[in-house]
Amino acid sequence: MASYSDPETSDETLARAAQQGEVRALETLLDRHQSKVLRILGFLGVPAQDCEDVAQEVFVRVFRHLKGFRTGQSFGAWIYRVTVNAAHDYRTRKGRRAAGETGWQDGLESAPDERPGPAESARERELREALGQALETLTERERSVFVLRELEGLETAEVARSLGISAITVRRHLFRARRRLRTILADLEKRNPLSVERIVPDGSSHG
Amino acid sequence: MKIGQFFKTSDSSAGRDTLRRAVRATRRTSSDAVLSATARDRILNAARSQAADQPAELFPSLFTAPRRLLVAGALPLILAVGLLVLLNQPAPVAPEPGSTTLQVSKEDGQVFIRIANGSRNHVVYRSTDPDRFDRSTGVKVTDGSFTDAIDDQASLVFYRID
Repeated sequence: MASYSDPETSDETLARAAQQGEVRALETLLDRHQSKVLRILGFLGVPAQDCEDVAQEVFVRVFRHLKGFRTGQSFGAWIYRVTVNAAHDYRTRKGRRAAGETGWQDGLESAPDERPGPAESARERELREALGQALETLTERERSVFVLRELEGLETAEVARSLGISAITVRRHLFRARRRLRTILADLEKRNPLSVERIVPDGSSHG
Repeated sequence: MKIGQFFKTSDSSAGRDTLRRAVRATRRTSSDAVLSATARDRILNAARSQAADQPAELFPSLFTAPRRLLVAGALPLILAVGLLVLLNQPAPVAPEPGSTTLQVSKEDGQVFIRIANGSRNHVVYRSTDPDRFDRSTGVKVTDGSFTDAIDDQASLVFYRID
């Protein structure tokens, strides 16, 4: 008999057990994926104070439709898709638009206590805030792709599976997202320089 | 190197570099937050009550995937067999061509004749002589039934139905 708390037990095995009503399997799935869901919701612009409510929606949807989970499907890809859709639904309900509304950085104020030194922390905070502002200017799809690929570290194929699009489309959205973000961060840096090395023609660098 | 090109290269390099650092900083310091105990309980309770609302099936659903395939495959066969059965059945109600069924009754001083031969239109002649029928006295019938008053003067009356 499979041990539902064993880290080696796959998500798919747990999902099949949960389909049969095995509550311990449900609990393990919840434990495994809760941080990821909360994190992604934050990256996708759900404010910290609402992340938990939206995460509840995600898991209730996932567990409600568990009977439709088929052998061979990727549970991880499925939960990513439900999370992205839930964030989109949230933003649609709240009527948020791309520019000027940041709840994203609020979510990062609850970062864990592993601290780099104060100087680095301030710079990292600047960078995170800058990225948060820049992400708000992307389309929903570009943002989802960038978050899953760059911030969550998923492979292109897995991003494609999660979002139900082709790998080519993932790469196209990613290209556009990166280009836009680079431009915005460069502009932000000009207006409010971050501590970034600049390369000057003689090859030396200045902090 | 031209100055304009330098700045363009420098800007895109700086932007790319800044993006890379921002992504690294975000990934490194991103939260491993967990749901509160209340939220967790709500989710698990919702999942349990969904499971409870769906009682175990006493009889297997007809619509499990294998059965769906079986039914889908069998339907054309069932329809074909049904059609064959219907086509081979004799036509109901109507008598065979050339045969006639008559129902005759007498009531309240009248004679009732019901004619069934597959047609509802007839001409009925009346005579006291079975070999002689006056065509001018024929009565058209359109509903398959004929009513005639009883002739007190005759003991025997003959009817011809065309």
